[in-house]
Amino acid sequence: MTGFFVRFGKGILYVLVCPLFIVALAIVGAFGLLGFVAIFIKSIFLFFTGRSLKDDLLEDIKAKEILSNIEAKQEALMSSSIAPQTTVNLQDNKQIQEPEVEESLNPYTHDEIRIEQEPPIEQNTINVVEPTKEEEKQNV
Amino acid sequence: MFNLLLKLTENDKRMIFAILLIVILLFVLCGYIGMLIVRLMKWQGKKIDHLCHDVVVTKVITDKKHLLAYGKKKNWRLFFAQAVIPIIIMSAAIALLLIYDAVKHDFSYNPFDSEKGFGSLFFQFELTDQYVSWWIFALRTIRVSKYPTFSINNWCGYLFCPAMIVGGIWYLIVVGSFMARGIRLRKLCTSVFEKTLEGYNQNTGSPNNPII
Repeated sequence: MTGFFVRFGKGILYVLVCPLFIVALAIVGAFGLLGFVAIFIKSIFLFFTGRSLKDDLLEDIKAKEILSNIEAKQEALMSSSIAPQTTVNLQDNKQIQEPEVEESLNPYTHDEIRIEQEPPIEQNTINVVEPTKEEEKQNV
Repeated sequence: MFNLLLKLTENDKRMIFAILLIVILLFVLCGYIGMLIVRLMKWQGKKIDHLCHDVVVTKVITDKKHLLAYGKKKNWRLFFAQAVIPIIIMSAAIALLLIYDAVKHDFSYNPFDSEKGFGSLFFQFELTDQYVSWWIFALRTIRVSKYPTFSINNWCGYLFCPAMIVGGIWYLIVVGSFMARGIRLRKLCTSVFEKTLEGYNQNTGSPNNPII
């Protein structure tokens, strides 16, 4: 019975709001028609420049690249079938079981994405110090 | 008012009760229709989630303004793709009417006309002088004034009106979904990048906001 009265109340509310909604729909409809014409003209322009409205945006291309990289990594890891590794935490002297491959390969974890975006650690950390001429002489 | 109620016959009271019941049922029906529209718009709005999912999850977009701009672009593109067919239908109908008028040299032709247009396919009613009830709403009986007739000469009205009605309703549905996606996009812009301190204590931290 309460549901009936709730619907009755909502009915009154919707009847009151209905004209506003119709006005909003008409305004957006008219605005949309103008937008439609503008996009139509733009699509003609794009057609003659060899492009299309269906082309991916810059953000889409970046996202697709990241996702495809993650997928490629997943496939590579799956094919190599890596066994779960164990590492020793020296501070606590505990053995930590690393998660299995399937669990760690969730394409939507932020860590994976961060790995894709950041440069490899080796490039940042390894500094090759070349010996100077004096040191070479001393060595000789 | 009280005197008026005293003067009412049993028949009048029954009629008032019936009218009230009909009004209540009409409001309930409006409630159901409104709820259906709201649900439909929520469902249509979910499409923006699908459009913006990859760029947000891969962190290509990391701020509110960027997401709003990207979402608007995507929303307009989808609107264009969806609105092409109804607009073509309506444009074809208008072109047909203009050509018909130009050929007939009569730009005053009304395609909805009850004699020479789409209206000829429907019954037409008129009010009689007989009153059902004289005291409330002055209800009068109605009678059929014209029966439906089909004439091939009215072909332009028969083609124009259904095309415009179908195209118009289709276009309004597309506009409704465009609006729904826009509303959903604005909600997402605030919720996706929201930083909340709800339940956070700087000394203890919380599972969602650990101490850095």
